[in-house]
Amino acid sequence: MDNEDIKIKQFITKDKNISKKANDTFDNFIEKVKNDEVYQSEPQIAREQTYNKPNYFIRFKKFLTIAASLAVVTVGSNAYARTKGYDNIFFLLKDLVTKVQKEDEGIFSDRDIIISYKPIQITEDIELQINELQIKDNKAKLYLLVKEFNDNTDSPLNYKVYNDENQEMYNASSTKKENEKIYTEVLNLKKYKDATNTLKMEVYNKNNILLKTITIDLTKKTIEARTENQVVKKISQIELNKFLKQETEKLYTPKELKNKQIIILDTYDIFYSDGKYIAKYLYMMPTEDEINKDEVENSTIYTNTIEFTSKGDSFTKVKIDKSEIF
Amino acid sequence: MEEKDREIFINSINENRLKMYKTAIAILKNEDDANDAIQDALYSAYKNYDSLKEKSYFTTWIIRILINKCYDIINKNKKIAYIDDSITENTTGVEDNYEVESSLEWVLNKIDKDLKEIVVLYYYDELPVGDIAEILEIPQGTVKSRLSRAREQIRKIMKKEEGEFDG
Repeated sequence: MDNEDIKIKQFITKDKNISKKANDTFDNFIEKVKNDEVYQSEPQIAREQTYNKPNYFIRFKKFLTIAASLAVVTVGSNAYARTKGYDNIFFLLKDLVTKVQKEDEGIFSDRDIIISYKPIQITEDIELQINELQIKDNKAKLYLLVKEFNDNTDSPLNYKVYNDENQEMYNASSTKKENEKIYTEVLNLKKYKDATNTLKMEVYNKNNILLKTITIDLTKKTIEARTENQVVKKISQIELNKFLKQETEKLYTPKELKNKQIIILDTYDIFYSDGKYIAKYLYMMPTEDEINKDEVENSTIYTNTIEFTSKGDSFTKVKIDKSEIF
Repeated sequence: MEEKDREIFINSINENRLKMYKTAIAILKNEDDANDAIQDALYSAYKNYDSLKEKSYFTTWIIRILINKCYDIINKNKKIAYIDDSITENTTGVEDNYEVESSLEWVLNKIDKDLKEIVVLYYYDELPVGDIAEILEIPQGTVKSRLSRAREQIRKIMKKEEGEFDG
């Protein structure tokens, strides 16, 4: 730079202000890097994905093409599909790809969090499943699916939801119609904040007696269903998928992974034996081009088996097999 | 990412905070969008840090990522076309100490549109001509000629400002 350039530089760089918001953005991100939590909280990448591919649903016609080709190479896959409640492998894979892509949207954008947990037994005759937390314009809606099996004296249910600070976000009775046995409840939650990590939902019977307290961890997407003397805990699918992705990536050279992304589709058959878990899982390795063009379904599906130990939400690999085309 | 790499990564990000912020603001002219672009760039950089073989090129690398993210936002939002002359309309974040137009913005609002990025990258981000050419995907000669035009226009702006202050 000559003298004139230095003068210009001094002139235009005399302002060193950076907005508080931008500083917070940097600080929050650095905090996540320090705590190794970047992959747990990638809302930003989601926005990137939202920009690039707003359509998350695969085109069925294209799907049939891959499904048809898969049918030729897969032996016994229909049997696997049937164990998962699907008529055949076509529909299982279609659902898996869609689910993964929707899940990505949820993890990253914090706007549509899909919570597909197993039904929770509220009473002997009532099951409740938390399906989705939808967040738009700072308004949050919690979608529940309730099933009643027999006539019972507890219904209609009442719900109360609290945020991290124990502020009441919802307090109302069921909106179910008389004699309805399977119905969806939509809880419009107040006081939702971006920083909300946990929701506590209390389920009461019609006489306002507490039946169950359910904790929903929005960060890790694990859920604990509690009763007075029982806590049911399950492995976080997100943490497990992250671990599987990481270990699967190690099977490939950087050259083989160039412009490709590992997408974990499903984990099945998790056995526990001698302190180790053995999991079989499915994954895809689409190219960036396929992802951007919503053509993920054109990618080959692989299967692998991994042995690992688990402590809390962290996992350690013991052994991983060679991947095979599923 | 290993502990040591993580430390280097954090230090590099901290060193480039102001540059990233000014670059994003200069292109997007909108506090919210600039923050989105910065966030996207940070995550993308973190995910791809291993691919940066020569860590001393961090600044060029992160600014290139950031600029791409800025244009992703422009393209997708289709609400800000380059740097609009009627700038501050969309600027939010007054509560974020961003109410005063900086000297950089003041200059950017007065020079030709095709010179704005060059000015930010050269004078603010202190990137060499070769790197700017690579980031903007234009020949080095074009960078030099635009810099020359920018210099001329800024000189006039500065003279005018000095004149105004001298009364």
